[in-house]
Amino acid sequence: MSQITTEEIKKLFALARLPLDENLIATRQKDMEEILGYVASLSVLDTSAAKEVHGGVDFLNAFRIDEVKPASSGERDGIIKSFPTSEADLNKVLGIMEK
Amino acid sequence: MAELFPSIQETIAAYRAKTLMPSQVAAELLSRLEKENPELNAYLRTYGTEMIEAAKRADSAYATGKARPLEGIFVGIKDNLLVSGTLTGSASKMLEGYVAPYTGTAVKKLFDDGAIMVGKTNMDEFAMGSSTENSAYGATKNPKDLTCVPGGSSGGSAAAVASGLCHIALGSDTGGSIRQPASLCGCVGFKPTYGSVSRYGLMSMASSLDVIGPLANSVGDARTVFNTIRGGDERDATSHDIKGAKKLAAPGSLKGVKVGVPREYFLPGLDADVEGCVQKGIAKLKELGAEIVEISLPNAEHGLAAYYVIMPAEVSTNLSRFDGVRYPASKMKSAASLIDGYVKSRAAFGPEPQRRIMVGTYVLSAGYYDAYYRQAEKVRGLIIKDFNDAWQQVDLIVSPTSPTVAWPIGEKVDDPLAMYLSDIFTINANLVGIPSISLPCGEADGMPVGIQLAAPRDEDMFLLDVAEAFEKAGIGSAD
Repeated sequence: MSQITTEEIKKLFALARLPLDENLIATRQKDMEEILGYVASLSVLDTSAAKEVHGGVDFLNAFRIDEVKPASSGERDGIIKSFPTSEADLNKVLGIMEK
Repeated sequence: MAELFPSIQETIAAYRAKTLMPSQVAAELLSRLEKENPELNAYLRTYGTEMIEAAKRADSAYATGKARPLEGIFVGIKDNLLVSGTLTGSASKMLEGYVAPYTGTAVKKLFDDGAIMVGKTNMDEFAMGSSTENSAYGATKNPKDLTCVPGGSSGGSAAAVASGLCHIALGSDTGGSIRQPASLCGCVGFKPTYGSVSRYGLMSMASSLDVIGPLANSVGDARTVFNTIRGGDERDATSHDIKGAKKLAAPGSLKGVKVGVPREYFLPGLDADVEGCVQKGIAKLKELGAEIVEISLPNAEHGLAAYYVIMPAEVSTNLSRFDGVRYPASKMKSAASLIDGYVKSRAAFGPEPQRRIMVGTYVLSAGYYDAYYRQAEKVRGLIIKDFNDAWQQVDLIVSPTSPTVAWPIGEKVDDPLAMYLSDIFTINANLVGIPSISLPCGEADGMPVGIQLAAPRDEDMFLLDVAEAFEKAGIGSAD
């Protein structure tokens, strides 16, 4: 079974932008160790000659003409309505730069 | 719905003969929904008023001879498929209150052909699960035994079809999420070739694995739906028109068809009664004229491990968009900073998405990428090669769909690894991108068993032809 430290679990919560819940650390640690322990079986396979596959299809260059096709007004309004905070038709977000 | 209209074809024939009207079906459905859905929890939301109105329009269409091909056919839509103007949330609190601004391609094609939506079906949150217990809105129950799970993640769609709360339903399949619930609920579940159905309007879970497909009461209904929703779409660059070439020598006959039985799939861990049903199914294939050939897929046993690296990696990437900036369930207003807003907003994810996001983050992180993610993608390459080698010997591959029948609700909910193992026979079709179908194949301990058939990429029609022959031979009873 893979060993994951408590510190690594805390770092993962931060990296994944998930809220750190002290009560969950032990559970997540156990889950991660079991899952990573299971998938560690892959490491013994000889893949030196294997092709790395990244997609469900082996298409190359599925091009289309790069032209702007505006959404319908209904789609546009729907997207704007789903913004948590908006001003006119803009999505209002917190500043990226902090003082 | 079997007693009212056993198939799409028969329903449409009855509408045309004016022995049945869509509005009668809608009224019957409403009555059943009120009676059965509160307990079953197959649907998260139903649209009774809209359904009745649409059914009246369908009545008129038949009366005036203007009915479209699926006019008055009632469908359940999985909650991760966008339907314009309706709440669409992947059964997650993360998207509570989110109203879809457009309708996805597959759903739109059904609607354009006259299908009527009954409601949005329950599912595991963001399609992550094998039992529908991970829904933020309560588990769906198995119509065959309400103490058992219906499978997942398209468990609501399977339960709705199996209990007669729609004609057909759409689901999505990333690692077995159409086929496994179909098996556990006793209906047909078809995962088409990757890319044969546009994913536009499907909330992405793992983009290289996700496929939309039908759950139905018969192969014929699944075929009708697939023929409606398939095809290339400029809004999904992986979508394409299938170009299969295989054909049956004669309808209903499997003469000349070679069916491979992978020896790696019939090992300890497979329930003995399930294996018995599947072996009877294989005997039926032989009776129909197929040649049964033992084959080897030497790397297939590693598919589940490869999947549980690749899928969480794609999940952690795809679900990064749920950050409190663009969707309603946001805590940005009370946040001290943008990062604080992200973290507070993402508390809305349930335990399984959080678990998978963490695994995905880990396997993609510096220092682990090569050991886990790159290695898993190489193993995926080995598995694809195994299947390509197998297609040199056989036309189809047969296996169980699930190693067990439906299990009691709660039995595996605290053991993620045990839950993941229930997808062991379905995962490889997603890694390889091939079409695969689960068909009813008898019962074990009074619960449905499914048999799974898979074909080479793009040979969806051939697979459906074989499945239909199999179904007509009475395989559902497996005796």
